[in-house]
Amino acid sequence: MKRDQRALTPAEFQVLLALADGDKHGYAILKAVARDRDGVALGPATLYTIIRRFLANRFITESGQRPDPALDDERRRYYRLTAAGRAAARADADRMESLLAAARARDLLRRPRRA
Amino acid sequence: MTPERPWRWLLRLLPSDLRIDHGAEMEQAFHEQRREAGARGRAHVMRVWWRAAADVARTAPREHAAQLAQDAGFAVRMMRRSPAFTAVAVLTLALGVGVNSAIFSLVHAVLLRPLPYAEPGALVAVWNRWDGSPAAPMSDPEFMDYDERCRGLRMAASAPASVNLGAGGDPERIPAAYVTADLLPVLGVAPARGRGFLAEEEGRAPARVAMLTHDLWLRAFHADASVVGRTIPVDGEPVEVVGVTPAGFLLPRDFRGGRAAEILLPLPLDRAAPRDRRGGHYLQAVARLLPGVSLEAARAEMDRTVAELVRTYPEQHQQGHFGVVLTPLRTDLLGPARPVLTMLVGAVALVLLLACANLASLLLARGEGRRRELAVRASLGADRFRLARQLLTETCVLGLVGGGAGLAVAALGMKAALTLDPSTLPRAHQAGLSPPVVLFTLLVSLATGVVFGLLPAGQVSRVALDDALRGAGRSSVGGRGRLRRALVTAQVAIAVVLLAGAGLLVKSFARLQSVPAGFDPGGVLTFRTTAPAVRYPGRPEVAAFYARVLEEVRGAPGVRTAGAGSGLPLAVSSGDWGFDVEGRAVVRPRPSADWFVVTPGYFEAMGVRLLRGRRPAEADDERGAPVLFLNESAARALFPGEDAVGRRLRLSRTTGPEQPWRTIAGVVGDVRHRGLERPPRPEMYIPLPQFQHFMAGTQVRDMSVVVKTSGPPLALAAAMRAAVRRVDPQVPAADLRPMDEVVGASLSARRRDTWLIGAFAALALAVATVGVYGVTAHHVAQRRREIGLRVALGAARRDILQMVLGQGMRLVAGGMVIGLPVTLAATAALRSRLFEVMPHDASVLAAVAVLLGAAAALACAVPARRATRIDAAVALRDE
Repeated sequence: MKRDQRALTPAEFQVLLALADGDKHGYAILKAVARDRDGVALGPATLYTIIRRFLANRFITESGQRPDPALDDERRRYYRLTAAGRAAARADADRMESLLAAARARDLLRRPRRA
Repeated sequence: MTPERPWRWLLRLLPSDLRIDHGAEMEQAFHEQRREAGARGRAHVMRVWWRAAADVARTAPREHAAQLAQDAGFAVRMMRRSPAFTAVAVLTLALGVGVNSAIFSLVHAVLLRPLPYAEPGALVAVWNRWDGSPAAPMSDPEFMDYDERCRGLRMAASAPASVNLGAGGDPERIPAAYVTADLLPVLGVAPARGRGFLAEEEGRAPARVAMLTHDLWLRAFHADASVVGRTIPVDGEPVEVVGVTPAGFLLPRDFRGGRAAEILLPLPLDRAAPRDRRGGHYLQAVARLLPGVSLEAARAEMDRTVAELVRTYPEQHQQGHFGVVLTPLRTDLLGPARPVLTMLVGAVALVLLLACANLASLLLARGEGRRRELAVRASLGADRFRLARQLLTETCVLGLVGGGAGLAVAALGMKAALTLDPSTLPRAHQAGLSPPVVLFTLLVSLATGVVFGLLPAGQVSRVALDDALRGAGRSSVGGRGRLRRALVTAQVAIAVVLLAGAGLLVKSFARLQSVPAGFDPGGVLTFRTTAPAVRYPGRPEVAAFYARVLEEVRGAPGVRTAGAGSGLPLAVSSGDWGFDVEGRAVVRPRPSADWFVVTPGYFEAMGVRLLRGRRPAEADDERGAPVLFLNESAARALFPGEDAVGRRLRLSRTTGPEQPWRTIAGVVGDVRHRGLERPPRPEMYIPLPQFQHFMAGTQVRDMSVVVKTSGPPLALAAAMRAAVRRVDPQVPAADLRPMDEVVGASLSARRRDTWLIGAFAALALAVATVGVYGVTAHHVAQRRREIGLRVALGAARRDILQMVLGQGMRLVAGGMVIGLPVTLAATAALRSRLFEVMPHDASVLAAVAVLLGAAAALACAVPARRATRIDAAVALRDE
């Protein structure tokens, strides 16, 4: 599908990032994105349209593992990044990296940011 | 949890599948966001709400649009994959939507557009009325009295005329109108060029100034701006062009049919003349309600005025409940077009409904083929609403494609309707594929897509889910089979209504054409000409002019006989004129008859029968004893059981000279002057040399020359033009046409209606027949096994045939049973358009039943034959 090949939107990239350090349920993704991003907050409707899309093109899967049921809400579903999703995030990061390198070469960035 | 209810409500804006897959999670996520914000204070909660709502508002349209695009793309792929189905569906839709667009374009052009006047809501039509004449023109004194005494109204008037334009070798006869100076200001129309008439220009005869209409300016003067101020010859007199009307301008009377006036002349109205002679009703009046005056107030004022006038002139007005009616101009002008347009709209709506029923059953049939695909999708998690939505998108895409093709059908249909009848619907020639028509087509196409898609979508998606749950490819088809049969029954019912309507119109038309018109149009050529006042001032000169014209005409080779008359059957009629009968007490109102002026040869050329006495002769001249001729209706009404010939009448006078006693010299057959469907009226004919008008200084100048030819009438056209030219090169022979064409033109509105409704009915019959075929073929295919079993058990071919035919015919019978009462209700509305045929005419209804029955039997025969060939062994092995 054409849709898979296009560049990720910032929100999509953020969702992949949020899942890169472990399985999360929707609210956890929202919180992670809110922490990482400065700017517009990701809302539930946008998040779940992204989740649905990623589920359809197998960037993420629903995770079977659940934490201790006592701590959990049965409505929660957990999502896990797949190899394809990781590859897509990496490809996007590479793309941005090369953009940044180009910007740096033209003196548009003062110095590399510390991680 | 109550605080989340608004959120749940907000989520409903999102596409259903997203909601079904992730709705609970979204609620949960929002719940947690809100709870966390709650710990930090109200402002944070408000922010969470605001952001979430904005998020939904951003997401929902985008997701819906994406889904729509996806579904539409899928629909287009589906259409490509089944070209036969697509072709049938698009064709059906194109016809169904196309005829609706065509009729809507007429409705829009004729009824919906505003009148071409400023603030048309304040305009009213003004008519005299008395018993038997609900809307009659008025005389000069009446017009001036109403205008002067009603302070709430500003009145203007016009009178129809025709004039010769141009001089030298090739003058042209054109329709004209005499108008009061303030007609354009009352209508709120400013001249496009030059000026309108001044008050002092009114009342001068002959006219010295004229306004051209935009059309005449284009046609005869090639849009030359310098024509304003120039002098042109009108009826041989020099007349100065003072202005040109704007494009699209129509006089109110031009809405009432006939050719639109092309030149305006000031009305010769003498405001200082005495008002006691109140005959001569020829003015058509229009008035503008002054600001702040309601229609009711104006009517009350007019009623008071009429009461005063009745007291002042009891002899003139105290009869037949005389009054004056004010009608909103829009109603007056466009009201008459409403019934025919309503009929056409009803018919095309039925055609569209039929197309919808047909497509719905087609889709149901196809839906069965697609059941597997839909079941798979349902089992993959597509919900019922999602499937229905996708199917509806498909039908709407089909609807739009069909509607696009329908625009082409509409363009053709419109042209056909206007060709059949170019003139009886006002403004119809301005119909076209205008933006409102295209918008209408778009909306109808979409609505059609929804309507014919709704039933199958509901059915298919439900069944698909059932199948998915059951995991089986087969399920009971009872529900859908019933629905398809119901749809076919509905198609038959609609076809019954349209066929019956068409049948009644066809029968009316046939009846009308066989009506004895009272004349013989075969081999008759007619043209209209005039004797201009400049060169033919009085009656003797006019009579001499026509005598010379007829002499020239009769001398042309191929002419058997010729005469002239002031009227022309089915084209030019006249008003009535009262008289006293010698030897009888004077009665008020006087007996009256429609009057015509004729020359010798007129009745012979027109083929009007002589019943008693003699026809007009050359001896009936100024020196001869005054005579007149009655038609049969007048003779019978005036002298029942007596011989009219030899009795004497004296016509009443208005401002003209005292009339002589005239002896009735002959009685001729009735002629239907005002339309084949209108019963003949009492008529009288006066020889031209003896005629004296009831108005002083007025002559009959316009006459129709009627020529009986020995060959094809039009072959003599050039000879007739030459004959008139030899008498007076400045006088044209206008409206040259065979009498057959005059008869045809008088039937054009009916012909149009009959053809259109007939075409719609034929369409309906074809579609319904295909519907019956489809459902019967399907029925046979479904019951293959059962039929095979019956054959195996020894059923004869005849039994099988009977079973299948019976099933099909039951549908038709059902459709007729439903269609019949609908038909009776619908055709009752047709009553005004029928001629000597009752809406419940048994022969028409029987013919419809036979026609439909035969068509349906034919449609059932093919599948029935197939059923008889089913091999029991094969059918049973297949299972």
